[in-house]
Amino acid sequence: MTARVMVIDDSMLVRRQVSAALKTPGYLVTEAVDGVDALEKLAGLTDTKLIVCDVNMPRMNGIELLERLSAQGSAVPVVMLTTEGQPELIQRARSLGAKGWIVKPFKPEFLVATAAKLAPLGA
Amino acid sequence: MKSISPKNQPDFELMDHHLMDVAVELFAAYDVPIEHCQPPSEEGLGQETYCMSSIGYVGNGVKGVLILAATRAAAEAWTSAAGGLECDLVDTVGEFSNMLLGRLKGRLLREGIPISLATPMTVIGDGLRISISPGASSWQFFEGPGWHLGTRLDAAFEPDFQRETTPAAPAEAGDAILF
Repeated sequence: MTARVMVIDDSMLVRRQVSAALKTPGYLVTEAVDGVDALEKLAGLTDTKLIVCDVNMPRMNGIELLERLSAQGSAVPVVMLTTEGQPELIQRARSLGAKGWIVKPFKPEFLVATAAKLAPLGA
Repeated sequence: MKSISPKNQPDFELMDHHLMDVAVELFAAYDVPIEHCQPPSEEGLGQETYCMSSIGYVGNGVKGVLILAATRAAAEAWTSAAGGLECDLVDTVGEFSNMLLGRLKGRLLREGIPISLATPMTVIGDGLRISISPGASSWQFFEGPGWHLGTRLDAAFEPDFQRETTPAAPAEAGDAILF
């Protein structure tokens, strides 16, 4: 059994890197270019088991998206994947319910291990 | 390097020094070795400039822009190194500038200079040029395998700018934290 992961990043390069890493073990991947795009797509994809999200994005950034998801009562775990490492930002994301924080450039094996923990294949 | 107030000169040199370090680190993370070098021509990258990405930043009493300039060969090499063969060069250069300034942000946080970042603006074309900075500005050039890149750091300091006395320790590139 597979699991759907939504990858949200304004960089196509990063979306493709994350998609390639997660498709290898068998995840289904849906891409979104920012928080607005993600909210629209999430509304129609109720089988999403994990969100991998950038922080700095146009229109709606990753922290704003976390706020929206928190307000909606979303139970989908979110891992932030970003160039940012500022403790206040990490704490803010955590307080909004994020389950993890990975600083770019990422190691694919770390990302896959994180996905396996939060959205195990076959569960 | 353009002259600035003697009071802020050490701060700007510190920022520029860290930028040179993180540029080498970033490309090493993609197994692309680069070395600091002299400008390839009297006009820097000159007519070879094909992509430029700029990201604004702002902190307490300081603001500016980081510009990453690349030749076409450089942008193609980075795209290949990052495994993004289907991606356009604009996207690649934008993301590398984002990662570069992200790393610099971490270094500056440790130095008591917290900054916030905007998103990258990237342009592509032949013989790109940019205007002169109104504040402090420094170009640095690097040589990779068969190509060059340039970074320009601009900074404008407010008269009351001061580094924070209790710097924070940020998460580093490659760190993965589960809560």
